[in-house]
Amino acid sequence: MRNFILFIVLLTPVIFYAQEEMRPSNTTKASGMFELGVRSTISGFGSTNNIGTGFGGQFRLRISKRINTEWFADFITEDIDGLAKRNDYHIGWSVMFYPFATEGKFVPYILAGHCFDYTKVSPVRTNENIIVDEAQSRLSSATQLGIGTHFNATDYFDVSFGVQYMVHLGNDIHTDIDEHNRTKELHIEKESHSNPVLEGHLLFTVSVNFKLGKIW
Amino acid sequence: MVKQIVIILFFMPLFLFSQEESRVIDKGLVRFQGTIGMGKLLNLNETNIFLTGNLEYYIQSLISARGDVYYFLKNDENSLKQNHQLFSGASYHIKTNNNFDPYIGFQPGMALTQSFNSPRKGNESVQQFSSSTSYSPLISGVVGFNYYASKWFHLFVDGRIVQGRHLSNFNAVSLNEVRISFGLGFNFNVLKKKGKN
Repeated sequence: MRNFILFIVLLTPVIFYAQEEMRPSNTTKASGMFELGVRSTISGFGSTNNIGTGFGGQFRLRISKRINTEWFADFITEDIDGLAKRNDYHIGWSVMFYPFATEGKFVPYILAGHCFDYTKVSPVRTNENIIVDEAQSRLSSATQLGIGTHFNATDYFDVSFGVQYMVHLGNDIHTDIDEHNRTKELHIEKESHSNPVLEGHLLFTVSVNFKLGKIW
Repeated sequence: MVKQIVIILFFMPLFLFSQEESRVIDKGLVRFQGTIGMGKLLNLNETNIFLTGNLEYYIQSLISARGDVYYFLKNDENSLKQNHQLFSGASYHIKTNNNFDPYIGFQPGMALTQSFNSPRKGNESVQQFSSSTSYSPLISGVVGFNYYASKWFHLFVDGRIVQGRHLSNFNAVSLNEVRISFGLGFNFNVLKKKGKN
């Protein structure tokens, strides 16, 4: 019973916002806006505890005054302790929900969405004495949840800052580094299809976006 | 004395151009340039030399969309064999009442990179192996100014800071760099009608 009450309390804001969407005035004023932009992404707090850097792009299509959609693609690389590299290719979409201001200089948002990704971890030949495994790759799907804000520098341009946690469901690839008799051993292991696992990372994104016009 | 005269002669075109009163910076302005750029790798204390060019479109007098290309020519210490870079993003232009156009910008980018596994130090002869070629994401900020001397030409000084890392089958190489380029650029406005400045 306590869980049920907690569940209802958590859903309350959604109910309030749903009422607002039913108002006839101004709800379609901002809709139809098409935006195009590029972005940089920092990936952290993943399974390897290293920092990744990414480049990507996105377009946005605003559905209503309070709801926007973002369709993105990212390429992220990560140095795994100088012994391996990890490449992540993301393609996906997010729904952006504006709970507070819908226009003005700062427009904060909550986002949630889905993503498909390809990951490859490859060993690096270093000058150190190491033993390495072969490269491994996987395809997986992911879901993400985050917050951010647009900074509308002008009516036609914004800079957006966002942070989102992305959790992947699929075969796990992880690296282990051992050292025996001054020889480092890098193990790149991939879990089988029968045992999919969850693996997550935190993504910090800065993007610049141009409002190109209304589609409808 | 001779040096001072040369400097005055060198800046003479600026004085002449500054007599033109119309403001060139406006919505619809397109500018492009090609020049030589030089950069200092921050973690390796090495110098890179590039051929560089960019294309910029002012969607408003304060905001422009901009793309840059850097074609890698040379690295003094031979740590990098290839380091070609592409950037795209936007610049914010600080408002002035004349044709001086200071700006700051943000441009994500990508590099096509290839390194040597063991950089040569001085005249030391070391057998070198090239790494595999790889694509490296970059984060970049720009700061600089344009001076629109006429409807068709401008002078520019462009500074850039780049953050990135070349990851391949050999040791990683930091691509963190500060870069500067300057020279003469070309511009025209695609929205202004003929005969109207």
